[in-house]
Amino acid sequence: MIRALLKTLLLSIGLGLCICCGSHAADTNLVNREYQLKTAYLFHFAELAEWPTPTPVTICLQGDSPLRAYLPVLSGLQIDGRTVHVLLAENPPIQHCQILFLSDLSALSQTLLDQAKNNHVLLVSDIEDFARQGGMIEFTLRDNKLKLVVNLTAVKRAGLKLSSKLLRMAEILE
Amino acid sequence: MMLFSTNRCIALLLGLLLLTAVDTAFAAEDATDPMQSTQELLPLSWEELTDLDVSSLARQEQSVKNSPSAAFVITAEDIRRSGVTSIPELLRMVPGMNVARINSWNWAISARGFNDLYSNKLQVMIDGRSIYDPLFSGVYWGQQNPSLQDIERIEVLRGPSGSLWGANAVNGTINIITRSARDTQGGLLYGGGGSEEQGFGGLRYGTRLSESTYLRGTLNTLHRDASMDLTGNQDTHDDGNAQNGNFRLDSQLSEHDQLMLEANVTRYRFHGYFIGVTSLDPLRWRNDDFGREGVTGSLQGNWKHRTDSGHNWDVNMAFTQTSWDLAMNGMDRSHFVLDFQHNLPAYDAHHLLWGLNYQTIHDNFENTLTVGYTPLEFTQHNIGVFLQDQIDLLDNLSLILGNRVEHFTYTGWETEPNARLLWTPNKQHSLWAAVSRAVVLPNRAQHSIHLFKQLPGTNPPVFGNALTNPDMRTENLLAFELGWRWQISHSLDVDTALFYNIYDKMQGTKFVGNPYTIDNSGTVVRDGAVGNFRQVKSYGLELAANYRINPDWRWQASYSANQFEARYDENEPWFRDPLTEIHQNPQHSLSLRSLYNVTNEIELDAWARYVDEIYVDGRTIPDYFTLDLRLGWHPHKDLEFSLSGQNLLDSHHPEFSDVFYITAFSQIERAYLAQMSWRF
Repeated sequence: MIRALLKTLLLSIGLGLCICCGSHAADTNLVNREYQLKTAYLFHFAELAEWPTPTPVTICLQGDSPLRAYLPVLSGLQIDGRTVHVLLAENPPIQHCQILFLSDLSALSQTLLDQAKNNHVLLVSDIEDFARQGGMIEFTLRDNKLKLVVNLTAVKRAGLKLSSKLLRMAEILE
Repeated sequence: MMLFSTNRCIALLLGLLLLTAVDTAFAAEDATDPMQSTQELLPLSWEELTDLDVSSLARQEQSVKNSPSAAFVITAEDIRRSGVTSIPELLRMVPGMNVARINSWNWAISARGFNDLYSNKLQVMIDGRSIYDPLFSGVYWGQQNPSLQDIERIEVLRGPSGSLWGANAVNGTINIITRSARDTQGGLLYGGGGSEEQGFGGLRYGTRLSESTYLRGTLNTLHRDASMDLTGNQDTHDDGNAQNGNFRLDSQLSEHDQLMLEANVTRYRFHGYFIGVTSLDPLRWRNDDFGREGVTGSLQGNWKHRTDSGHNWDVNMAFTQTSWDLAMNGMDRSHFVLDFQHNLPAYDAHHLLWGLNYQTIHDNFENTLTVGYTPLEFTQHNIGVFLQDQIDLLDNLSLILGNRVEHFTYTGWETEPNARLLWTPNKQHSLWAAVSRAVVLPNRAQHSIHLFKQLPGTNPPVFGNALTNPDMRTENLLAFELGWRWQISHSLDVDTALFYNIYDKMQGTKFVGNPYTIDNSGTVVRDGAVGNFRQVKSYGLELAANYRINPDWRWQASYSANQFEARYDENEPWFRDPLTEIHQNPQHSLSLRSLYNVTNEIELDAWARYVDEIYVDGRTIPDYFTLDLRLGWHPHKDLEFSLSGQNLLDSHHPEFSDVFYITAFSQIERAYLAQMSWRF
């Protein structure tokens, strides 16, 4: 039996698979789509969130995030008949934003939280602990997937509503 | 009517090849262009987007979808929005699959033709554990009732993949992949009821046992109504019920080791009528409820080991215990499978994969005058080895050579080589071609069955006596395939496959000897024997297209066309139609689905299907066009309600028949269903 198996193995190797000597090339060719995905998520947030008054959606970026290279792709797209604008100014005027993405935690001051609350701005970030510190939607990486942490209290305080579709996918901080 | 001549086929292919050769409109793009790579994600729906992995090896990006074979994936989202409640119904959306419902619990399902109640050319697995029945090399679909809520995706490969999956992966392979216990934490309660699926429900709970170990359990039950008889006024008494319990544990043992353990137990009780012989002299029989009841239990495990140097080891083990009882016979069977796979790190341009597999099947039967198996007890041992090399000839051209050699108790050594070529000139196009050989093993039934029953439609009754054939050989397939995937734009893609298959030593059943009588009342008996009597050729075309109008509206279409030629000796007295393939498979079938989000909380989905006419048991089953509708509503993030209607365009229609085994001819009725699910 063993002999037959060995014979078999040799036979299949004899299929014409010549294994030449060569360098060990490891497959380290990683395709990373983190920021592409975050951009697409932000596009969907514009649809899955509800502002008190329907207006064109302006997505703003504060600080120095790699997202800067990706966000312009959303500019001019339509969502439910509303046009998406992208504002990449260094310190965007918050009253012009519907969605504000923060690149660093230092920007998350009490002043900004109050401004966001009064202007109904959805605060999004990928900084750890962002939602716990009063932010609204935080991106985290879990098992190689993007997951959302939502501070529902902060969202409601700003007069915003998030669709159950978004909340279904999220971990909700009570 | 000829669908397309061989010449036209070749012309079409040349045209396609030429088209891609001269297509220089798309310059190769820089995959790292942020705008470009983001644009691809924008047409995806929210559910599709949230399902994507953040980073992946370029090589593993080769999901089923860009493999050099005709592949189709049914996602969890597709399952949820289909509104259906069983696996067979889901398979209707796959191009190249033949799905026909015989009655409430019995289905005829196959890929690329050869459809029958006992079709034998499909390998079907749940998490890598084969659920096909070695008694007749097919699947008792009615006995497979896992909770659809636990399924992450269903991968369907049409065409042979014997060198990877072994014998019987001849016309297709279906792998049903359930969700990891890590992804099913917390509770889920679901249920529903309607006119056909009269009541079903399930309860799932997932918990974390330690830092990296998760466990979940699911219990579900269903009760299904009988189908309609020929007159459309009465039912065919084929109602029944089934329960299923499933437990799954997933653990990251270490940075390099992953373990999955799964236990499943299912029980069922189906009703249905059958003619059984009660005495030989004088010959007596009765038509009675000879439904089926049974229990299947399985334990399976999978251990994955990854080394830093790029070696991947996979060990799969499954033990399945099956037992069922009919009034006319019973069976107990133990089935053990052990698989080992080893992926080697890339060596120059070579990516080697090899593996070993061993399976043993031990069964034992209770015989009656109607059905029996001799010997009563039998053990098979099958052992195999496979080797595959993927050679990167160029950056965008790879050649896959593989072979599997197996030794079977019934037929000795068999070999199943295949060669595949994949060319991806740019991001818009990928073309593949394959030549493969695959075998269908003779099964326990062909080797040892004794079946004695009235031949359908004979008056005065003539009895058929099926003889076994211990010399039955494998049916051999030589398959030629071509495929082309075209991403026309970010929102539109088309996947085309063409095949030409030659099946040698195909099984056929014919009468042998002269009619004789066995008792004083003069009842005539005819002996029938199965053998490798025929040659069948088939060719066809499959198309699948996705059109994403916007993230809230997706269309999916699939179309298949199929033609057969059969060669056999016309002078022989055939017991079963020697033109089975030509008669029993629709020449055209079409599925068209629309998935539409009316609002963020309301979904409206429609599914239209067309299946061409077929001819079974001397009866024409007309072509049919039908429509399913579903309305879904999420009033709260953890709550979902849905209403669906199936087969809405007529009150009932037949889809298939097999009066030799299922004496009552059934029709499939229009059905309504309400469902809810709640996460806690």
